[in-house]
Amino acid sequence: MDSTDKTVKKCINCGRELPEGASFCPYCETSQLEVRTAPVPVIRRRRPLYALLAACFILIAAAVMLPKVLDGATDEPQTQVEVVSAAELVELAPAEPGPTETEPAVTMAALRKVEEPEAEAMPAEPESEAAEQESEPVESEPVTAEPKVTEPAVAPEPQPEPAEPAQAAPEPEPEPAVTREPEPADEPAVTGPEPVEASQPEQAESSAQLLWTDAQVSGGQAYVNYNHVPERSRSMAKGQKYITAFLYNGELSEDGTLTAGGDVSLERIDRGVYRMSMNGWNGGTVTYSSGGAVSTIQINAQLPELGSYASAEASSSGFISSFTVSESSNVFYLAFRDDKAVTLRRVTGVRIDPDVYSTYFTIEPVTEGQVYKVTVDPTFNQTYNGTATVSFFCHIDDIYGSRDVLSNVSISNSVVQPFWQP
Amino acid sequence: MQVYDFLTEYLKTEFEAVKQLHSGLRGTVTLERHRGSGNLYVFRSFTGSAEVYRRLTGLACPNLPRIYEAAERDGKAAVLEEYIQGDTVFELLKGSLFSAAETRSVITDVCRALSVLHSLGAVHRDIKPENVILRSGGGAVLIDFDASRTVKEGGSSDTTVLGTTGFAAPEQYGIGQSDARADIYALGTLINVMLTGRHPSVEMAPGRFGRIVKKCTMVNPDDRYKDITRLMEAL
Repeated sequence: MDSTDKTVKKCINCGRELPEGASFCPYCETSQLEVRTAPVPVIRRRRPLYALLAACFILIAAAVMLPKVLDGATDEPQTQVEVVSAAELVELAPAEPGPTETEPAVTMAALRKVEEPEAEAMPAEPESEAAEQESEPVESEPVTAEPKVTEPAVAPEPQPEPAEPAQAAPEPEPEPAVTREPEPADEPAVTGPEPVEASQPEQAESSAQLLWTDAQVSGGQAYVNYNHVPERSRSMAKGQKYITAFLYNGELSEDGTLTAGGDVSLERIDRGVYRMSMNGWNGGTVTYSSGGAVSTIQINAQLPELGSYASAEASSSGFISSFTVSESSNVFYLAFRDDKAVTLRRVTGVRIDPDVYSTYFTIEPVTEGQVYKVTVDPTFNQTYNGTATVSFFCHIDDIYGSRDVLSNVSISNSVVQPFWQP
Repeated sequence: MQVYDFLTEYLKTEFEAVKQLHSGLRGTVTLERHRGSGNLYVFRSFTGSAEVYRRLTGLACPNLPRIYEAAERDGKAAVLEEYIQGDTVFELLKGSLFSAAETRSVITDVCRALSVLHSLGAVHRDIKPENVILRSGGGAVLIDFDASRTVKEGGSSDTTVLGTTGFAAPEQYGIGQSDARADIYALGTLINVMLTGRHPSVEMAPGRFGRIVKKCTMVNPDDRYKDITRLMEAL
């Protein structure tokens, strides 16, 4: 290296030539950079929370205990006994050799003697020191028994309190009287079953928790699956657990015979799976109603005479989180989302509609229950074109137990094409 | 002369190879001894970017190896770094599982290392027992940033699928762009493996650690701990 070269620098320690940009001298093992100290992550300790909780506990305990302490101060003159005993024991001790037996007598006698002067002293200053009495309630409380003058100052709060309930007592009475009067008047007038209305908020809340997962239409019948979210379903009212009726709306094709209010029958096949029968229906938006819970699903079906193929886009598109390509030419990965209602145990197979293409796909777990590797046969592009539904055979656990379901994802040629391009 | 050439050249003259620590498809890792002082270093040569190593150069953190030099040329990277004396968690797991206290201590150290890494805008992407060394003097050190990358704002997916099966987050399989939460996923798996010897999908760690692991390994990155600091708080 030439020392005149601008791309050369010298070691800060030994002076040997190093290329510009070098951060380490291999000769003397000296770093050419100023050592930076790594930033220390700031962790929010939970101690403040604990301290806050402890403070709250102390405040609550104080709030509970303080009245008792204040009340007890009048009955328990032990604090005064200590003061008294210091003064009186000196005088009384020679006369009472037995310590344990005489102590109570001494303290009681002393207490009377000491309380009296204090009590006498207190009435001497009550009117002029009303403010002090407020700030020294403990001292004034023992005195309250003797002078009436001190009572209003010492216990102004307890006295109004009994008066307040007396005033408050009549208040609740008129209130219910006012509120109850219109209620019975409204209930029979507007709606008879008011109790049902009271439960409707729960039903409305649960409506969003009933989610369609997928549907298949075959031979004029649709098989529909749906999920419950267990956390919510627990709070659902009885009768909400199963699909009880189908409603529908949306425009049907001219050759579809189903019209609004048409004949749709529903049969429960399995837990979470229902068979919907219809006549010549060509798809549309189906809404199911279960008490107050409503969920919708978009079903696109071909007429039976055109083939028993159908795809469905549900408001909850199965358990599949994503279906994306890696860099590999014919390998892609399938990720399943976390679902509070469903635990995916394994994927046992894959099917492409129509079934003849299934042999071109193989699936193997990367992380069981989460990520799967799907390999597409490179020859698949010679036989396939268009849009299809890829169905994954999934074994799941949900509130209905352990069972096999199909989870579908709709793919199009343009999306999938990169997978199997050579 | 470029730093890359300088580095590879002085390795021959100033250092001597002691042994090969690792050899794979992407590169090799060798233990080098300085001829003058006898000090040990680790030299990495791999295909990829040395950007993360470069960001770590000159940074002192007890839970990360010191990076002395990082250079790259024509898609090849060369790195000279501190040699950490100790055993990997992988080796120690062959003997016995870690206790909860040991796991907490090790993971906290790894979290500190990741905190530094993430603050530099980098993601490790290959956290696993083999890449955590327990220093003989105490403390855990996170090593091997060959798979790490810098996070690109607005990126939709990783350009290369890297990582270790079982530890790599779902988004590392081309499903999305990996960010700091991919490391949290792997960290959750590591916690579980240290405590149970098994992947969370096979056996979940019991108790509080199990809850932490579960949150770490959620498929949706949004459901995991938002950053390493949150995880450290949970620990």
